[in-house]
Amino acid sequence: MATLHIKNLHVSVAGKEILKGVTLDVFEGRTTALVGPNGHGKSTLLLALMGHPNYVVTEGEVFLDDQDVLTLSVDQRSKLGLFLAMQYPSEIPGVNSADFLKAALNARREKPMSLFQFYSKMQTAYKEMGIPFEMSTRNLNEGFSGGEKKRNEILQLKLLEPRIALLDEIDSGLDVDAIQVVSAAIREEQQKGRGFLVVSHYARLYDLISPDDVAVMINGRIAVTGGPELVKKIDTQGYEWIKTELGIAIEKEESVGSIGVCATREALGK
Amino acid sequence: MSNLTLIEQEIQDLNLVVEEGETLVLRLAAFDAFPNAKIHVQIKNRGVFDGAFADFSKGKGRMEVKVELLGENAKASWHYAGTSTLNSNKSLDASIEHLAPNTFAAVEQYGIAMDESRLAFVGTSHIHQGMVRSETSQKAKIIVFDKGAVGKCSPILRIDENDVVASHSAIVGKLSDEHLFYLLSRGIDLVTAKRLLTLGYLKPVLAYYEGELSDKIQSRIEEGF
Repeated sequence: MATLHIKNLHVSVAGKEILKGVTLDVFEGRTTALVGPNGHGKSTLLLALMGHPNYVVTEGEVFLDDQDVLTLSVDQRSKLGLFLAMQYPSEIPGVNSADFLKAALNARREKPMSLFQFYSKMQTAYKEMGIPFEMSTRNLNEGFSGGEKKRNEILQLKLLEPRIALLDEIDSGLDVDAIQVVSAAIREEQQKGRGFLVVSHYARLYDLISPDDVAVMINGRIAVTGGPELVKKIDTQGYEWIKTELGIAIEKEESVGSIGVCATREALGK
Repeated sequence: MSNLTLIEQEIQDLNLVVEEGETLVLRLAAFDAFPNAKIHVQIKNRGVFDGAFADFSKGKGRMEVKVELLGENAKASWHYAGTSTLNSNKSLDASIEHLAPNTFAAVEQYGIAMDESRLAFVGTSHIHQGMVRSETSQKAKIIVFDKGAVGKCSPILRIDENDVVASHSAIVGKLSDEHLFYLLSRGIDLVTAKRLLTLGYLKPVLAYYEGELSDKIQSRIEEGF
């Protein structure tokens, strides 16, 4: 079982430092919940791990076992076994969903998959995710509802079989039924031994997928790690105890109940 | 109905007349040298001109397609899809003259500018005075693939009559970094990702071709330019 070692990771976006020395291990076969107030760098960590060009690593290291991840291109990281389910999956005009999935599956194979094999695999995955199979002929994510996009992310996770999956607010925009479908799919993948690093603001998702470890991100660093009891504590008490128990002042106030203020969006002035 | 398919060097200066009630289908395809041709089409009453050009050629110059809608209920359509590569400098001029009432024209041009090349879509759709109830549209889109490439879209509408329908769009853009990141993050390499993102712009032209020529165009689109 592989381990993703993140050590003293510093990441800047548009010249503003957002991650200020993140150290965290994520294990294949285990699920880590990454929690913390809005705007403290959770999404930034996930995007930087995947290699988004706007997220510049200025210091630190990331290894998957003994493979240096930071020297790899984005597609190489995917082939190594990382997967990012995005918070805002792009709508991509002109790219047919089936063509896209075929290219992604064949990218990690020496010989392209037979058409029959591809279609049966795709049909099964669509069925399991409750997505009508006709949507495979549509352009990627174009005109999909928020919930359909998120299901489509998990569908790709199932097909691409990563070693460690990074899920960025996979439950936002999902109705109750869709959360059941998505969390059932995640549980199934957990049983196959995949590792997860899961960002969510809601205890409800964590109740459904039972994380093994919890890490709390404050001010661009991991302030504290622990077991699932941390999720309960935050769900009932918020983050105020961090200040009183750990003496860490939270730099920005959490905007409770509002749509997440993403640190990156703020840095980019969006 | 007459069909005319011209490939490579067969594409030369042409004067075509579509007689009353007739239909002319013109299919052009170029894979090697850019044809510096002038094609002039005149369409009489109820005549239909249906033209398409799949262009993967290299070279420098200007190709003109001028269509005159001379009779009532004449119709013209022109669909160009192509690429410019290396140091090519290609200009495509598709122009329409509405010279009778109730005439209809649609021009669509889609291109990918790569390497150090320059690709320009120009052309004027002109509805003359008195040519009432005519409809004309011009769509042009160029994706600039590489830093050294230049794309220019400047189709013009000239409307000298009120009772008409005219529309017009011109877009020059580069591939979106977010779209590229999404595809790359699924393990698709950069070359394949770029190709997937451009397929959608070029593929619709396939509908105009049949048989071996269609296969050849498809493989040019899918396996790289």
